[in-house]
Amino acid sequence: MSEDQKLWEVLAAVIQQAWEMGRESALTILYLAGRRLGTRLTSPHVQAGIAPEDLAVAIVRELCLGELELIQKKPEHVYRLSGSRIADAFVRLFGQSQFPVCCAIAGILAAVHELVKGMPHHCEEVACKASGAEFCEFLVYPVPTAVTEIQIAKPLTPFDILALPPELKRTAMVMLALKEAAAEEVAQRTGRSAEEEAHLLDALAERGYLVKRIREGKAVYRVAG
Amino acid sequence: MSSLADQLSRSLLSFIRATGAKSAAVLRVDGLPVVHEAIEGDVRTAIAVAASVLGFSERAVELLGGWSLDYVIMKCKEGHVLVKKGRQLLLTAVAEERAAVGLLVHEADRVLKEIEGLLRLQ
Repeated sequence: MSEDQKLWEVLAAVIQQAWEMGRESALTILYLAGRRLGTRLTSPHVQAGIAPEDLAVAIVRELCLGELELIQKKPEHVYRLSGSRIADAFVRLFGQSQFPVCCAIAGILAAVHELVKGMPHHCEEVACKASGAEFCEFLVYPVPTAVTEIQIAKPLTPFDILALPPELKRTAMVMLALKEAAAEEVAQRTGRSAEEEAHLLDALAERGYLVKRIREGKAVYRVAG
Repeated sequence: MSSLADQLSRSLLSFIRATGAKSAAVLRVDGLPVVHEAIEGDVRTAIAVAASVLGFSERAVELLGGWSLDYVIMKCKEGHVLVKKGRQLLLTAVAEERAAVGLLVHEADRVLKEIEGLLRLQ
């Protein structure tokens, strides 16, 4: 095992211990540690006029945390991280995680956006490789405009469904009935494949009608409101 | 029609008025502030620490007694610090020694339900 791998495993062990002792609240310590590190690494570049996404990608690469890319810029920034060293180390040590483990990286991304844009930002890991997702995904948003996931999301009503593109209508109707479901459950009702439904559910989540969470390694969608 | 931020703020102020608390905040379990009033200094860190207090206390209660935690009161020389758990959010408040702890807890419960309702978290 390389020295790098051992270091990531030390961090993974700290994350697991924090979770066992204080659940999400304890992971905040790691998030804030990431924010502190991100602030330190971003500060020298604030005046350089570099876009936050370029700086975030460069910092994550410099720290050898994995390969970060911006996959959505509006309405909020969404980043995808391939090959998260932290997630890989966590799975090696403890197997699949019940919670997103890359909280320190989320803290770093929040700090980059905060410093470059000059206003408080928060970052959430909405999918994690350690929980069974293919990639880790991070949603970054300014705090005053989106304090909670529910404020980002919009309630889904039958009236909203009428205005949706035809391919999304059936999925939206099923979600309105189920309130919370994974792609497989929706697929059982629509007759489409779970893969197709996952894409459609993601499209509804992007529109703000659903909130996506990774639970026990599986994406679960919930209707807002 | 007032904005959601105004409604949240009004709701928290009603808690402060009813209890005589010096400051208060409603936050998520991961320490992200939802709304806060009169907290001085590094608000985000203070609020995150309050969330950690509840998180660690909750685990202690669960591991030691197999119970579930409702709230934590920190009794200080100068007064009380409360961290109360709602369905999905937490409320933390600082109150002087003469404040009625029962009222603090009761009002915290009420305002948490109100704010969770405003955010459609119930």
